[in-house]
Amino acid sequence: MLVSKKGFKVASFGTGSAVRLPGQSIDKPNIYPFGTPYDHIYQDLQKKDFRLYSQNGLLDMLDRNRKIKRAPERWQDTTGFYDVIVTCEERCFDAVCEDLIGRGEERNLPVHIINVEIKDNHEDAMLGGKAILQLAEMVEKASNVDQDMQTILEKWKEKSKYSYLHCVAYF
Amino acid sequence: MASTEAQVATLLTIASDAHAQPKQRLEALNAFEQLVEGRGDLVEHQTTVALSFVSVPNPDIQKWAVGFIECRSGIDAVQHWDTMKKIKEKITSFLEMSNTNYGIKTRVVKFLQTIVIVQSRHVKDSMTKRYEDISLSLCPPSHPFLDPTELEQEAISILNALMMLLRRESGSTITAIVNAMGPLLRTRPQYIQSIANAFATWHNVPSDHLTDDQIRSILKCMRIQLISFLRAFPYSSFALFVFDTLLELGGRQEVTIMPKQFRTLLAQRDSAEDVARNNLKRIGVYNGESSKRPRLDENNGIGSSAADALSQFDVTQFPLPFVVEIILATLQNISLDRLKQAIMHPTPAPSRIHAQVNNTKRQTPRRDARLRDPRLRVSRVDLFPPTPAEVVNPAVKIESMETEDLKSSFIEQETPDQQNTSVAIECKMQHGDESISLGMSPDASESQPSTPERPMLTFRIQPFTLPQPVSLAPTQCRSLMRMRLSKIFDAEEVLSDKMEDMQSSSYVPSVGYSMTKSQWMIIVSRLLTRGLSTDWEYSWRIREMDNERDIKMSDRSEANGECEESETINEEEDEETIKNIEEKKENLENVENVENNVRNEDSEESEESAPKDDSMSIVKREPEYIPNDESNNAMMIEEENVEREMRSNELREIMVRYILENFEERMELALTWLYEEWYHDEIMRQAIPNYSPNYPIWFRRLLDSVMPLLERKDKAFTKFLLDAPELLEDIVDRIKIYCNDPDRMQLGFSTLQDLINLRPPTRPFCLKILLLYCIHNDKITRSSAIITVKRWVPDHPQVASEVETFAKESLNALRNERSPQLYDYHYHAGSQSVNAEMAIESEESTKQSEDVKWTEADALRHMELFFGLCSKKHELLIELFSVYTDAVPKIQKIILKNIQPLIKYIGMNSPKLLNIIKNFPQGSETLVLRILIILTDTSRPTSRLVSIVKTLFTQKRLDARCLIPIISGLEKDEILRNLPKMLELLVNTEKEHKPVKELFSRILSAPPTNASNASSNASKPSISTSGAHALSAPLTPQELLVALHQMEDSVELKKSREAIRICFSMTNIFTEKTIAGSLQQMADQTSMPTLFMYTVIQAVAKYPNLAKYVNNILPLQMTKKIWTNSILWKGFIKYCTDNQPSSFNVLLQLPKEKLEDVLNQEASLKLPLKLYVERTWNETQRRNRMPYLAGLLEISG
Repeated sequence: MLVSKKGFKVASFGTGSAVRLPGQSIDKPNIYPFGTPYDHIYQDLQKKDFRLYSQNGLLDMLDRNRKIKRAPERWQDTTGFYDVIVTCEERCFDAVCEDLIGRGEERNLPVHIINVEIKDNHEDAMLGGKAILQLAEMVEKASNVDQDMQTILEKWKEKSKYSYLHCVAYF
Repeated sequence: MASTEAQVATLLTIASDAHAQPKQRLEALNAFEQLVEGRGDLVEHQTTVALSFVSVPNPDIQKWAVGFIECRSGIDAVQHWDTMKKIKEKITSFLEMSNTNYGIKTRVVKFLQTIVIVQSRHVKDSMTKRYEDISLSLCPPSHPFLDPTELEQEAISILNALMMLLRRESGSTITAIVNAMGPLLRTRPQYIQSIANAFATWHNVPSDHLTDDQIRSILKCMRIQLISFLRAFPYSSFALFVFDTLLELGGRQEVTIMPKQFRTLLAQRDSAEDVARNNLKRIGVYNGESSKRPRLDENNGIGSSAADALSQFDVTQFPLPFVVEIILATLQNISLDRLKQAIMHPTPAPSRIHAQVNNTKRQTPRRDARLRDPRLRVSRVDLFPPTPAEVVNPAVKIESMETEDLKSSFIEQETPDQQNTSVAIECKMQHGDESISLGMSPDASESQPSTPERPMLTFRIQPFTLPQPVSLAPTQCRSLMRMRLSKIFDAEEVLSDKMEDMQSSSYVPSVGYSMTKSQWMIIVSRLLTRGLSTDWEYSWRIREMDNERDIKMSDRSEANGECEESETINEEEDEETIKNIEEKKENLENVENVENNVRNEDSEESEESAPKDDSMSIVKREPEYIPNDESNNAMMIEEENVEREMRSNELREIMVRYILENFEERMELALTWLYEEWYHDEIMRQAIPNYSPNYPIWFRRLLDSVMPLLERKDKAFTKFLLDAPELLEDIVDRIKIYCNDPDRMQLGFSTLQDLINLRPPTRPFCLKILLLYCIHNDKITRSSAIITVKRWVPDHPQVASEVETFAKESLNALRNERSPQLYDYHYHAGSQSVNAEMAIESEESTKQSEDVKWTEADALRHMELFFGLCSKKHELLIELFSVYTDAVPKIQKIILKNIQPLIKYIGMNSPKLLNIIKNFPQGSETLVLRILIILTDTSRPTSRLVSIVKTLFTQKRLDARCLIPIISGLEKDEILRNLPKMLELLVNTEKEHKPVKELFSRILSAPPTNASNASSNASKPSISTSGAHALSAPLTPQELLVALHQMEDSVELKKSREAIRICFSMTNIFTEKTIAGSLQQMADQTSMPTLFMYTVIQAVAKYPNLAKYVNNILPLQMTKKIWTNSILWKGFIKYCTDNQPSSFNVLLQLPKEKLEDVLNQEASLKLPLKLYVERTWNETQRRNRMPYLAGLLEISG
């Protein structure tokens, strides 16, 4: 989100089979299919337990999201091409890599996939977001992304103290 | 720069356009080449050009390739190709240059990957379809300027070069290379080995120039590649190898995204690590070898020439007949002796066992219940004599016996092809020089090239002497066996089905515990059956029997007629099996002779081979068992038998308990075990005439324990019974327990149904049980059974007729005056108690039956099945008619009452039903009538039904009531003609009113479009529904009423009057208006119906408003001399009396004498009439008429 606030051309995706949000207990997540509008989810959760979901920040997040885009999208369903993909969980990194292999890499367009491991909670997400923004800015400044990516990552790591995974794959 | 890019793009489009002139294409390419080459020093420029070229999407590159392949000749094409090659070289050289930027490198890598794909061959496993896949397979070997072999070599060297780059390149380029392998592996899985090896090597040799994060990323990419490969090719022959490599690269981290079967495998490996270690120790020989195999492969290194040669060699490219011919030709070159030798005493080379295991494993999933049937595999045991390996060492022996045993159990299922294959492999080991041509069999191409020969040199059989067996006390023995058995059971967990699935792929397992679950089941079952209850002497005899049988089977010329009969392999009927066994008994003598001879000749061999069926014999054999010591043997055997019996039963009990723990999952085991028991019993029965079989005992025991545990919807029970080797009557009888249980009744019935359908031998007793439930006294049970049974009628050739017969029988029971006693539906355990209980029960029931008359419920339970069948087979109904005529009135009543749903269901369009009605037997008139009424209850009769009934009515002089149902189907004049007959029914009782009323409403059932009638009819449902009918009713109410008045000649007045009264009671049809209409109509006629005045009086009484109307018509009647008919006249007077003073006006119009007559008869009228005249008449009237009235009414001037 931070990244997009700063004016980058960004799209966001999930990689799972459905949108899973924390529920009343750990074994009862709220599950919505991709494409369910954020607004709908917001209303639904508000109805279910307003106190709980405003307390854990879920409603805030949904509120913010619904102002940015209509509904969560699924990576596996997209057809667009990107230069850099940043994932925030190793699981997503795996999913994106595997998905690209599965697509057949027919376009021969290289893409950098970078994983920054961020814990999925509000606070860490904020910090992680800032770090990713930093990274994005560095990438943006580079004259030749392909050439400089490694150096950028190393520099970024020193600053942010996040460890990363990086690979080049193809569309 | 932009212009360069555009230029390149244009050139590329022209160059890749297959329809463009070759010349144009060449020019474009040349121009492009110059762009790449020319103005050489401008690195920037070059880069752009290369980038544009390299970023061409795959489809375009492939289009080029196709262009080249299709272009067979012509200078242009060759030049074109040369240019292309130059460009390729140029681009490849970018990788070598140290100053190339990473972005270009990533693109070049991808470009090369595409080239590798195009310049290699399509294989069967490729994920792309053959016709979509642009590969060298498209290029004919005779292509004028493309040399496929050379191109393929080039591809391989490109691939190798790429793999080498893994060592030198920067982190991101390495990940690019790794990721570029994805599509390559999907389309060309043949390269997986080199690639996986390269990955492993990269991992083993540390790279100094990379940071930790980079190494982590690269490993991650490699793992994802491998996992992706496993997901795409889970059954590939390399799957396990890839899996191992994956683990080596730290694949455990990705356990969550692994394909499921590999996850399971991993879990198994973890949990079974100890077992594996033990196994490896124990089965040192071949497993040690197989676990070494991947290492051998790794030694081959990247792109080893042998592996490549093999990967280029694709057997599937050759037509099948050709391959077969080569194999046959090779086999013919081998002398028969050598071949025999190879089969009889194969070198225990590991690869042979592998191949064999492979074969059996591939067979496993295809097994079905029929093939498992022991009757089908009687011929198999000991097709293979013991291999020398068995003598070598007890530990090895167990293993090889398993293999041997398994081999024999599947050998008859192998297709000729596969047998060829295994023979071919064996031959290869015998004759290394011939192995090249033989190597073309699919198995060989899958196995690694270096393995088959190698172990032959290293593995030599050493003479080995058996150590003295340790003797154990019986109790020790027992506890040891118990313990071992539970250990064996523990092993099941390790052998899950998943494992089996995976191993059914052709990959040779590299781990020690390679047994599949089905193998395990067979071993456990045999251990319990043959392993425990035969001593070696018996087992020898059994073996002989089998051999004998085999010989017979194969030698058909010897067989006499009886033999042929018994040799039918697919015998379904148990009878035939028994015959077979009996015949075997006759042969027993011969067998013994043979046995003696053989034993004398070669007693050593018999000693070795005997325990073959008996894997526990190592434990069991005790010093007393010396074959020659026959004198005191008999007693000892006797004792030992009892002891052994106890012991084995104890172990079987453990088995039962084990199966019960999870019946559904272990049902397969239970079945395998029961099959073994059954088979063993069969053999033993041939050997020992008075042998008592184990199978029924344990089958019963298992069923008795399992049945209470199963749930209502449990399919397992049905499946279990369906698959069991033999069902005895008392076993099937146990199903009654379910049938009697309301909760599990469905299970019981569906099991019976399946058994009847799928196991014809059990059909008689299953059907008997099921049919008896069709006359069960509980309605729900009965109807479920009937529903089950009905499915076979009328289509099943055998069952249908049996069901019908039974249904008829039970229906015929109704002819008797007393109801038959209830059957005994309970399951009785043990046959003795059955008899006892039966006796008691029958006594009781005879006592009861003396005063048992038919109750409705009783009669009903005998009818329902029959009715059910009738609904499917209408002609059966005739039986009911005949029963009906014979039955006592009470039964008749019950039939009449309960037949309704059936008749409704059949409907009047059934020609068979109509036929029966047409020819109904004497005495069943009431039934026919009832049927007619039901048929026409809510719908109009069809013309066919009407005509039948009309015929019946005239021919058989049926009761007029039978016309009632069809009356609405009759024409108007027919109705009018027959109306008198129907009115004859009226005998002035309320009871008879009903049919007439019914009749009337039927006649009028389709009302005319008279608005008032329609609306008034709406209140009566039966009429309004049929009112919707498009046809109009035969008669309008008005016509009917008039008609009723006009039957003076044929019907007594009394009855007509009744009928009219009935009309008046149907107020919703005969409304005021209708009646007024009728009256008007009658008044208009020349002669007055006798009952006219009667109706008038009724009408006015009912609808006083009509009086005024009547008063208007009555004066007209004066002209018809109403007084001439005494009845009418009486009615007239009555009317006038009842309706004074409004009737006075009418009265006053009578001629003087008639008025006088009226007043004479009804003097009470005088005064009111006088007052009326005085009050109402004016002066003129008085003056005109007074004179004649004055006298009558005594009016004074």
